[in-house]
Amino acid sequence: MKKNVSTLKIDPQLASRFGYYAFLIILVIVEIGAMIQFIPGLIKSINENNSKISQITETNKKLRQSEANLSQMNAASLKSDLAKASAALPTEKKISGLVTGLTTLASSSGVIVTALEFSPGAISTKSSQVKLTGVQSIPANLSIAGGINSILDFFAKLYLVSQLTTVNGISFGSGTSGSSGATFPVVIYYQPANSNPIDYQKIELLTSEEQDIISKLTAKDVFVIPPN
Amino acid sequence: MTDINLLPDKGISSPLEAKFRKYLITLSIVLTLISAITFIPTITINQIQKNQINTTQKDNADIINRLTEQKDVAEDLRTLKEKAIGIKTIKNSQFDLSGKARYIMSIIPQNATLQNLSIMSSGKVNLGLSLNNPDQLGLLINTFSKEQNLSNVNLSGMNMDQAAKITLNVSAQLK
Repeated sequence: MKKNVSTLKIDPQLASRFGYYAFLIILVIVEIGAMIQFIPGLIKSINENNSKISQITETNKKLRQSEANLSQMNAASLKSDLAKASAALPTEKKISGLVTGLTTLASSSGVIVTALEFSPGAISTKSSQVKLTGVQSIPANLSIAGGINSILDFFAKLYLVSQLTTVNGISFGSGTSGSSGATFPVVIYYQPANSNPIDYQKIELLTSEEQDIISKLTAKDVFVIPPN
Repeated sequence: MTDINLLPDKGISSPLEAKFRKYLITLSIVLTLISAITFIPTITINQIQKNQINTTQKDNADIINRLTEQKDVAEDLRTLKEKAIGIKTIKNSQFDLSGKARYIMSIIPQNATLQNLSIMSSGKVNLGLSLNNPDQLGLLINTFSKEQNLSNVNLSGMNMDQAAKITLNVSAQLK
């Protein structure tokens, strides 16, 4: 018995045309999809890269400048300048040395320290901070006795002393014996060591003005804070 | 628009299909061109940028390594710089009181005796003086009024005792 089987006969030309159109349609969809999917991301990435390049190029510029600055430094000369600067502005607060220094200085001028009162309160209390970067101050009231010329000599030495001090005012009067007494507020400064890690992008040389200040500091200490 | 005919006409069943095919081919070619124009430069730029970032970052790391080798010098320089800034500020606030006091004492007439003196860093000066007789008062006033480095000179608290000795206070502002 012969079965009547119907077969699906596809026209090859029609299939070819269909495939061709399907390919083109898929191509168009893929291209549009790819552009929608990737182009905004790529443009965003380009913008972010631009920003990053600016940032790291700036960092590179600063690092190169720091390297150039550091290469100019003479280690020995730097140590010498640092020693002078540290005598002017010590790293640590050493009250005992301070008392010794002031009394020795007074003695060398022929005046006697009659009282040295640290304010606020006792010596061991915290010193007040002044509005300087990292610089701290030790305010004190100093009373001295001696002849007027001796007192003025003491002030002159205090003004020129290697350790920086500020006298905010003086007031003195003659006693019956011809000697005078003066009481004045004096501020002694120190600058604690910077414990922050070095920012290699900010290694700066001293300005000519700062260099000038350092070079004028007294090389030989008049007023020395001895180590504890 | 040029008619791009990639397939032989044979097999096209209708003018509508021909039109459809024409638009489809045109669209796919245009989109392919646009894709090429947008993708190739953006991908290339992106790659160039990434290379530049990598190169610069490596350079930065190399410089930091070289700088780290000189850490001690860098720390000394930083400390010196900070101290120099601090010293500069303190120096600017310093006031040569001794020099100012000597100047004030130098302008006091010889016939006047200094009893007390106070000078503030603001430049405010107060003097306590004594004169042996009233005749010397005129000279004292004349001296202070002519002094060019002083302003706002005031005489106050004048007293005369039985021996005609005069005590008075002088306040002034250093210029």
